[in-house]
Amino acid sequence: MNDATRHDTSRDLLQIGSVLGQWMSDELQEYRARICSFCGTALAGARESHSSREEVGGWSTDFAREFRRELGNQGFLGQSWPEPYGSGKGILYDVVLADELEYHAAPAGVLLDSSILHTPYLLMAHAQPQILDVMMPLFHAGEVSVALGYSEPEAGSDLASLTTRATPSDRRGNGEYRITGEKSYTSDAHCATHAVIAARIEDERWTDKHEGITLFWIPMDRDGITVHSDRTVTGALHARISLDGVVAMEHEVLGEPGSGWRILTEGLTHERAIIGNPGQPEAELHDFLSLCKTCVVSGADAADAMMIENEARALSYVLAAAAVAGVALPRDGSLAQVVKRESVRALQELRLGHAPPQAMDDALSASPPNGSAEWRWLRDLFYLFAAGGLDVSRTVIAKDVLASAKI
Amino acid sequence: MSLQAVGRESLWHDTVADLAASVRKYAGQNPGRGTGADDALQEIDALNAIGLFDLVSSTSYAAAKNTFPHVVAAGRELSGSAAAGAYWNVTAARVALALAHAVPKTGEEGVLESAEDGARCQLSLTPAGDTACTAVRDERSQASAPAGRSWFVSGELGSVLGLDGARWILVSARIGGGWAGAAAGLFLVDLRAAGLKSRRSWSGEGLWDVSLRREPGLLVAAGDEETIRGVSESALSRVNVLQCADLLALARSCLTMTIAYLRERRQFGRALVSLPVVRGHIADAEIHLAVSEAVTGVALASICEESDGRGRAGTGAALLARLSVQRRTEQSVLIANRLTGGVGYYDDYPLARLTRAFMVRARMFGCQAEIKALASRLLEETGAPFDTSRILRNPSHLLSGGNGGLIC
Repeated sequence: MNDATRHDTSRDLLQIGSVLGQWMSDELQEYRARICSFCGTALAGARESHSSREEVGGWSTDFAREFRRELGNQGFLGQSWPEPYGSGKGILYDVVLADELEYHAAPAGVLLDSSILHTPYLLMAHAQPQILDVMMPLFHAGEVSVALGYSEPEAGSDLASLTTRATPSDRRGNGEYRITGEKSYTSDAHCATHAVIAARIEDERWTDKHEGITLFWIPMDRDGITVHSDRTVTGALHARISLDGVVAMEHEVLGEPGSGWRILTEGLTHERAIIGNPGQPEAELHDFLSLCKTCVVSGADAADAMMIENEARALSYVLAAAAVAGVALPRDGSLAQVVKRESVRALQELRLGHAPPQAMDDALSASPPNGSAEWRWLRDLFYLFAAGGLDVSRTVIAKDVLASAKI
Repeated sequence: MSLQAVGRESLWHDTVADLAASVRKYAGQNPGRGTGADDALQEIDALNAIGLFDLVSSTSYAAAKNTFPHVVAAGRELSGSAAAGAYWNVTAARVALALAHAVPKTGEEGVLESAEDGARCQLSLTPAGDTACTAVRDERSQASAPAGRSWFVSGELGSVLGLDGARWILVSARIGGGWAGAAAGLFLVDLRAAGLKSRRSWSGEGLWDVSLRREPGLLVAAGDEETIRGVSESALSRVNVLQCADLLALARSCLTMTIAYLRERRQFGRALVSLPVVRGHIADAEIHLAVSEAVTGVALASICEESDGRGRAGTGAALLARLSVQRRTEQSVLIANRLTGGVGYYDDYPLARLTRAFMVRARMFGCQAEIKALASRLLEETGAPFDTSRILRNPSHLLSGGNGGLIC
């Protein structure tokens, strides 16, 4: 084993262990208990009156909006964000928030609302001060909902092939761009207040297709944006958008013009930790174990279910601890994605192993968002391709392993 | 003491880092290590000379607990050497002895010290809870009890690993003969005893069958069912984590070796490592190992949170880690064999040796079915066997109350 690989493999022992104590801190436990209690109260009885078959997440947009505002009112948003925009308490607070939201299948939970757990960090790292001064208080209050306009009909996994153009409104450079193109798989665009749009700026300096990609922070009520929707396998609608000469101001560029590829591929350490939270695997485990009330479950199946959930949980601890300890690796985000999604899938399939023959027929008639295991199984097909999909994640993992194993 | 506290005390940096460097240096200087008993003995001597076994020589629970993470970390440096099996087994046995030392015994102070017989004082632990042995008190030695050889141990032991160079064997045995107050015990048996028969069951990795015919044994831990169960459970938890680390070391070595081969080997006019399908397999192997490392690390931390070494705090985490690591590292090793093709299959290539070692050692101390049975039983008894961090919600309320149930 070479030194690089040795470093990778030793981090779980002591570096990770030194952070596990933080998971058990009284303050973090109290924070978790407050979120858990809030979710339990806020969602009790809401499923009957606020579920929506049209929404991918299963909750009506109005209720999801109100729920996010209430998260802000309760002080749950911004605990991890660095000061002066947040409380500066560190990544684990957002991991716990995501964990509880996912476990309770709350709005913004299973689909991990990017306006809570991704975009604030993106803006803090790359937005101009005039954007931050306006937006961060709104994020803190839960007033912002964000759509991510990265994928296109012909540029999904291969994002560098995107064709959406951002053209300076005149060659004298008066500080405006005009954005034109099509974006697909734009989750929540129909109810979003803002979007992050990836578009290409043509410039003779940039010859590689990875160069020139630029990220823009755009209000969704700007002229030229049209939201469309497509029906998904669960019957819910999923959004895509058309951009027709949408104006973007110079100060709405995130980072430097042409830096979009670097920003997106470098990713953010906190995001890796948050993605891996074990809320949904734990919820799926409990759903499986609840079968004991109605049928006979073998100990071997129960052990398998516990093992699968434990894997997702342990990796979540390790990735969060690695982020805190500053030893995160480029492959961590992809590891989190693959292991968590495959864990959820495996638990759902264990559960479906006890399902009656008509289960899949019942799937679409079950009441979301706490609907049947079958409905969740269909909904989570989304993760086979979302955020690059599991095979792109494997490509990233292999690339990083080969880069670190200098044999 | 938590793992965090251990880190603060810098035991790793002061002691284990130096030790690990020595082991690494040793391994680097001996790339062509063999697999036979003589090879193992030579390696044990060499490793003992650099102080590896000193790390695991503690027989007090406190000392064993404090050094346990470092024992695991240092052992991983061996990465499939001929002595690795011996290292893990002597470590497992030492841990069991340390745990036994923490419980009230029948008073045989000095026994453990006498068992430490220099460099070759190696122990082999029988699978906990898998005892076909019985022990009866030797009434003739009643007067000299408890310090003397006051018990006879009988039975058959299968698949014992690490007897090469061992002086003692640690046996879990049911206590018969009407001795009140104890149902089972841990006994040290001298492997040189006349009536003890041992034979290799598979020469490749040093598996042994051992037959005991009323052999004198030293009682090192006994008590009522709960007490001995606690000792056995805690010992098995540690053995499980040690085994996870062992399998990880072997599987990681297989993958590292395979990547080196894939960089060198050219087919279709290009290095194999450049093929997308090969990279996909590498990613899968890495995922298996990353998950295995995570569950092992968390189980290790859970065990270190135990206050007295006899609780169940780390039991569930260790059982589930064992299940995961055995399954996933085996997948990783299979990928390594698949990618190296015929080159990896032949015995003179190191991958073949590592694979063989892996397949044997993965099945020590309980197969998958046994571990699953233990895990599900723990779930039924406690509701939340696999998390000591107070994070996980206890699902015990889900397990009953209707027409179904959990069948363990």
